[in-house]
Amino acid sequence: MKRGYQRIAGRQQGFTLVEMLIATVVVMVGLVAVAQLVPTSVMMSSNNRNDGTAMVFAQQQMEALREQPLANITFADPTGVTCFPAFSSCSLGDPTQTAPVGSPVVVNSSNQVMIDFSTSRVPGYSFTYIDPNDPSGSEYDVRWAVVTKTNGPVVTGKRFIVGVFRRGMKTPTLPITLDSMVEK
Amino acid sequence: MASRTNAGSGFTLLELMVAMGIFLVICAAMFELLDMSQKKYSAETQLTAAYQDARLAMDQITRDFNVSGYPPVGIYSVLPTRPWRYALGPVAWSPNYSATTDCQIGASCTTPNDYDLIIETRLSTDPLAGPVHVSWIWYHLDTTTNTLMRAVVRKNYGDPLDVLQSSGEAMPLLTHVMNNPADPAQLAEIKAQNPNMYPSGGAQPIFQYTCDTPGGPLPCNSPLASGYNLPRNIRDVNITLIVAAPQRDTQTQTYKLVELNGRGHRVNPEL
Repeated sequence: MKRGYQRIAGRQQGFTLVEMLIATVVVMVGLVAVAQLVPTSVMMSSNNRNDGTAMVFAQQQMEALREQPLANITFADPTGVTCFPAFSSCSLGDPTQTAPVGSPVVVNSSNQVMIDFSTSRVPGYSFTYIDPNDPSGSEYDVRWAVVTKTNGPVVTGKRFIVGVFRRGMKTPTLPITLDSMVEK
Repeated sequence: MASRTNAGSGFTLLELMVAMGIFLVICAAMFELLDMSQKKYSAETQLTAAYQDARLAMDQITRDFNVSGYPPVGIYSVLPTRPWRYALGPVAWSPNYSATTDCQIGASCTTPNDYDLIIETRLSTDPLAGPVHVSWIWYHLDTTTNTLMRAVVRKNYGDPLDVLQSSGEAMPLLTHVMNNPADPAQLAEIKAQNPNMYPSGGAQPIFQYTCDTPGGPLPCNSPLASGYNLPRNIRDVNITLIVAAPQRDTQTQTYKLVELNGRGHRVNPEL
């Protein structure tokens, strides 16, 4: 019995405990590195979804603003989707001023006009929209600014800058800004 | 023990049982996962289908409304005797439908209201309408079956709602519409689960209107629009569709809802 065992042990050497430990550590390091990609990708996918939703809301808002008669300085929405709360009055600029009116804007490094979300909100030019399709009720900060072009007392055109920013994100993301114009 | 080291000896029954037991436990866990993912897949497929159906219905309503009110009555210096030669406004109303009388939205109107809309226009794509015939397109929520119905009939003499109701032309356009279920228990349940979809606390209107007033467009049922809350003054219709997946979610036993918002905007100006 003993002789037989020795003979087998001599033929099949196997790994030592230290070798096994090192190998395990190497494999674990690789696995942990790969596993870290999973939460990252989940977070990125969630950010993408929120960015997409913000873009849809920005387009919706832009469409609502562009559709108003040029002479009007306020509008209201009975559904509260493009002017919250429902029936409240939202602003469409000021014909007496040539500078952008409403939420403050900044010019970024690539010379694009963007809504400045670091400032406090301006009543009449901003509201918080709660996504009804999100069970956790995620909130989107909607803001806009208006530049009015006039010819004497007549409003001939308006430029709208609409920004939407998803609040409460775990990682900082860039807000969406749309810039469009409507003329007579 | 001695026999185990001999070449050719197999596993004992006990070893086999233990190994099979472990194997079965792992298998059961795997099947549980498979079952879960299949349920999830089925629920998500239904939700996507509900979204798609809602989008199609929304598209149909907004397309119909965008061409509403053509040809406007104002192009005639003398009112034609046959009412299907003209549209009195973007929508037809009931009661008091005539060139000289109105009803008030949110007050005396039976239609248009939160769940009922009759669009009045000449449909060039509708073979029923013909080249000179104005049609009525009726959207109506049946709250007992939670179905949004659509009917198209030629404009005729008489009250639009009476004509449409007796025509028998109404066909289901969208099912499982949860804006206003007639069953109070069902409404309470879905409201509790989706409070953001029912901001007023009650049922959520499908159609909400914006009226033209001297001070600009205003929600027709806002106090500021008083006196201008007439169907002829409707400028926009804001549409909210809340649609449920046909079956309850098999995992949570809740209704899964989607909400879609849209706006119909009349292109033909009032005359």
